[in-house]
Amino acid sequence: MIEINNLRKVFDRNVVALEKFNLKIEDGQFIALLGPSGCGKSTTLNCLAGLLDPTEGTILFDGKDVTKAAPKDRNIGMVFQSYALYPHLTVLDNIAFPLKQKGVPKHVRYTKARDVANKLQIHHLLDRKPAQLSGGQQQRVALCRAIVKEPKILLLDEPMSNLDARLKIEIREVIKSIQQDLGVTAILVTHDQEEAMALADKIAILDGGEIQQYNTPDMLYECPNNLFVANFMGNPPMNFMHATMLDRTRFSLGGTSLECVMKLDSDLTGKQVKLGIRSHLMSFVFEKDEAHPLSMQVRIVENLGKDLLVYGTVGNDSLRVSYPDKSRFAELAALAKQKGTVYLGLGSRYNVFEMPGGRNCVLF
Amino acid sequence: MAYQNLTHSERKKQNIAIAVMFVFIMPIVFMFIIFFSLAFIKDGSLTLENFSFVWGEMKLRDQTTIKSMLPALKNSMIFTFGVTSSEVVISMLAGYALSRLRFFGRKTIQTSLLVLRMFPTLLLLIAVLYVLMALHIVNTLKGVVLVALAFRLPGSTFIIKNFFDAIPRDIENSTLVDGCTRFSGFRQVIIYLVKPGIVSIAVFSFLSAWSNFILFNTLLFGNKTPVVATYIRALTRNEQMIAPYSVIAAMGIVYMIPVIIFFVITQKQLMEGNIGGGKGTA
Repeated sequence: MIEINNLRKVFDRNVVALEKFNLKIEDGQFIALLGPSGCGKSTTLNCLAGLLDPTEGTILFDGKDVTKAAPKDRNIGMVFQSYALYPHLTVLDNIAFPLKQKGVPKHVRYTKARDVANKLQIHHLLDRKPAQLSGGQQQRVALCRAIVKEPKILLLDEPMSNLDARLKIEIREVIKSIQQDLGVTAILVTHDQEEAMALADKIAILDGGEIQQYNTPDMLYECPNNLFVANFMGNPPMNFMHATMLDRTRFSLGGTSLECVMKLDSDLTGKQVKLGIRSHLMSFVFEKDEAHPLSMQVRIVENLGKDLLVYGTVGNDSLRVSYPDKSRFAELAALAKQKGTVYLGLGSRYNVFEMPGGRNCVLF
Repeated sequence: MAYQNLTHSERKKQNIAIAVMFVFIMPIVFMFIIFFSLAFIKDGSLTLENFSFVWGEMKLRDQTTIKSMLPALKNSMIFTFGVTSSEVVISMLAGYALSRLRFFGRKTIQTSLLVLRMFPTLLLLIAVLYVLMALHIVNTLKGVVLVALAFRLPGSTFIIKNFFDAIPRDIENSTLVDGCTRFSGFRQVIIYLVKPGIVSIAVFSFLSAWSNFILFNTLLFGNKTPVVATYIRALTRNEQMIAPYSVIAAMGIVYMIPVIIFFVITQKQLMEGNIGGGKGTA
């Protein structure tokens, strides 16, 4: 188990990268640290690896304080964004390198390196130099090198951001299956929410050096704590609409008074709120009816293959709404050209964020 | 290969460039021809007679004798080897520290390296003499080695520091995670990545040490420890030429050989600068 207690990291010129950072990671779990660049996720990983000294706070591995331990004494494997292979060594020597540092005899470490290489299907590349490999192959080698010494913790520092989309999915699969096979605790740093959703058992969303929410991908997606998390998770991004609460159960949206179907945890009467709704949970119709009372101006229609994505505006808010009936693409495109109007319903499940602050007030 | 990729007009221009270059190097080639023929040809036939100073004393036609070049060659080699190897080691460690460690005064040292590198070292010679006198190592080979090193170090440290700067942080972090200490990682990985830099400072250091004349001429009195440069100089004093031109030319060739050998050895290493492995190493 990894415990991070009250971690704080201040860089030169008083740049605070991490503040009151607490995280508990169970053995064998796959954790993602997700956030925009500069949110402190790589700093956290480097502190875990021992490459950076935290300013304050402690890091415990299985109850043992390793805050001051050198990287080599932590039994970790790490994969870097730039692969960081040793260009003067062959692939085999690259993979065997960590074992060499441990003083494992030559034939044992080469046998082990070959085994790992077989597992990741790069056994035919062992005699090459890293420069002769493609990006995906290099990343596999880096992965081999990270796991060859059977570490307790596998740290992945944006391992896929240098790969193209198709390779990303391939390497994603490799990482996940390796992690499951070895039962190793893995911590992934990424800015790609899709990657985090696909791989992680639990995701910690970071912003400004603080954890915004730490939960399963599903909970983050369905029940975001605040506006930031809601904004970060999901593709296409969540729609946000400005509204004012009239009383406990009603709000006004662009002059229309609507009933709030979600249960709120406090009385927000008179307060500004933002409604957050996933694009696939909203719907619109061409003729106004009771369930679809809001008029939306259609701007653009995109064909995504499995459905249509309609861009529109309600008041000052831009929205993206999924529309499942692809046969009406031409009709909608024509409508978009003349900035026509359709009628929008909010659906039965949405988030209400208190403004300012962005706290989610819905009781789930 | 590259030639085939040129368009027709580019090839035409390239041919003109080659022709111009040819014209320009002709005088130099001509000089070399004269030089070699002076050394190797005597009375119309090939001979190594002019080289006899290398292995022993040489009697000239006017009955003066030239001392053997061997002691001078030996001194030159000791000096060059000492300066080159210590320069490489010291500048490598200093360059690594400047590139990777954060310590008080780092910026100042870095700027002063540049300033020192721009300063004409000849101007310092008189001051250097006083320093050597104060340290009681004036008129010794040790003193000259120290001065030569001191003059060279800022430049080579600066060069190698830039090579260290170009190594991705990730590679270094990777060695640490893989179980290295900072030093063993340096020894097993980092050194290989700065190999082109090491070779280039070694080449420059070798060339400058091998051809160093001014330090020996000014800091060692009375030709006490002759090196090749001062040895040749002693035979070509202003008032009279002791040795004939053919012998001087032969000496020039002997002087040149180690440089050529060293260059051939390091050439390949100089050319291959393969830091990193493909995409995303920045």
